[in-house]
Amino acid sequence: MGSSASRPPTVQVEGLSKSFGSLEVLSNVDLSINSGDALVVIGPSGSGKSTLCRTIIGLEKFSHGRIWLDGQPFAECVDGKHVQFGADYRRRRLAMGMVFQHFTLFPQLTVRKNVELGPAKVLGLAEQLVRERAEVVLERVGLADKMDAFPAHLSGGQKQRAAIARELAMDRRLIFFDEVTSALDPELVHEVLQVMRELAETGMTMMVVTHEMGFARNVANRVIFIDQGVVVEAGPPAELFGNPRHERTKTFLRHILT
Amino acid sequence: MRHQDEDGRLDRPAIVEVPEGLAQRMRARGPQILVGLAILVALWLIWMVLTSIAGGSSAPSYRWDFGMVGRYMPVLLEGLVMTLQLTVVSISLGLTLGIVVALARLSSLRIVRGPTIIFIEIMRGTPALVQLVWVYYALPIVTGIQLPVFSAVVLAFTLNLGAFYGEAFRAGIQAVPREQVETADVLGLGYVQRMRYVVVPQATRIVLPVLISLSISLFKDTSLVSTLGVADLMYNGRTVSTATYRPLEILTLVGAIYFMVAFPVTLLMRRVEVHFGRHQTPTR
Repeated sequence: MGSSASRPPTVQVEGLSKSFGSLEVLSNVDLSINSGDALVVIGPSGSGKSTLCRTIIGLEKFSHGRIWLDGQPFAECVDGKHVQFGADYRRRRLAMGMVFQHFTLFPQLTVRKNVELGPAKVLGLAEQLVRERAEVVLERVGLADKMDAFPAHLSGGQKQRAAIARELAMDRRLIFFDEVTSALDPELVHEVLQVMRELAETGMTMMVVTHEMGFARNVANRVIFIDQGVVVEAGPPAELFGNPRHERTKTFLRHILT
Repeated sequence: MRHQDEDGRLDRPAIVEVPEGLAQRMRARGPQILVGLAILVALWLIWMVLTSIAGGSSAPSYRWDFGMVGRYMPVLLEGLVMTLQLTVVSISLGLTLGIVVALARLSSLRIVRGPTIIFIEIMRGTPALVQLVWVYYALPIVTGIQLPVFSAVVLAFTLNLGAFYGEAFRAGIQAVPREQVETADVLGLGYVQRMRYVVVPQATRIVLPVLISLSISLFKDTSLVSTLGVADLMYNGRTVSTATYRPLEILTLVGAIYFMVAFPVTLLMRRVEVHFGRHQTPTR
């Protein structure tokens, strides 16, 4: 759990703030994601959990702060000037992946082709290698028999697992999961969480926004509680759930865990 | 499994079985096929009745003659070939232009977006006939180049279709869920790749019925070129009907020929709507 002191964190965030006009969505967030971390982010709706993930991965700009990737500057905004570092910004960014809550797979492609698209067109791998890779990752998430099906014929849980496979095929070193089970029927949630758990156990670095407290308790090595754009509290799950220090954390946990 | 999307729309009635296999599908299409056949049979019956009545029309000097018509079929069919050529070329070029127009319309650069909007509004706000005539007669004065009439009408139709298809594609592109574009971006796909592999394929499927409908309209509007002397189905029909003094038989036949091409495509459109609708279903 965690990394050795000599290795820089995969992602380092410092003083990250984001405003939509007068509304401050993220407020001075400091965060380290170390290699092998399974970070779970919890908090009320609109607290900025998703925005935090989307900002780090570059889907949204921010108003202030700095982000480092593998110890090197990745993006920053100082005095209102937003900068993305390096001509290879997009290439470095490929180390990070994201699975969304809805509409993750491309509906006009089979599951196999969904997974193959990135390695083929972005990573530029040879056709045979792309094919093999797709088969391996789909096997790993338990969808070997659905490779040539279209997303419309898959259940919600199968679609999310396929989306995870697609990220695995891209050799991601960090995967964001943005409430990936929140839109699923309850009986389909387990199969997806199971895949995520196995991923965490094999050492994949992940940041998971979720309401699944069981997952947070059992799989996370660190839990972060965000409320109104501020990191209120962070720590190992046993500590945060068992002995929360802040009043807001206690209130939130009381509501969630009843 | 029947699916409901977020607005509660069902892609199909919840209880009806999905037809599989050709026989079942034809049976499911039964009502439309019957209607189509009924119309054709009715037209034919009317035709036979009228042509068998000697001197039974309101103009006593007009004699119906079905056999005569047969001799001019080849000429009409030649005209049909020209009509189809105009249609196919205009649609192909129009679709290409349409995608460009849609992307330009959605551009973040005002210098691209502005002229595109002006172009679209002009094409939508003026009659097709006026556009045809203008391109053939007025454009040469401006550019100094006189286009042969086939090229001129194809150009006019292409511009016209480009605007209409463009608006359809734009609506389709905007209807593609945001997460799809974001996923493509996170996957590392650049703008062109995103459009090509993710957005445009989905947008096209969403607006395919509209595209087909516009194409059918174009097919019918090609009849306007007859006013410029292009030897299409309508032009040949008028020429023959004048030469034979039989406007009713000939022009009715011309109408029937247009109908027999357009109507099956209309049926196809409904089928396409259902088929591609399946891919759009977001499942929980």
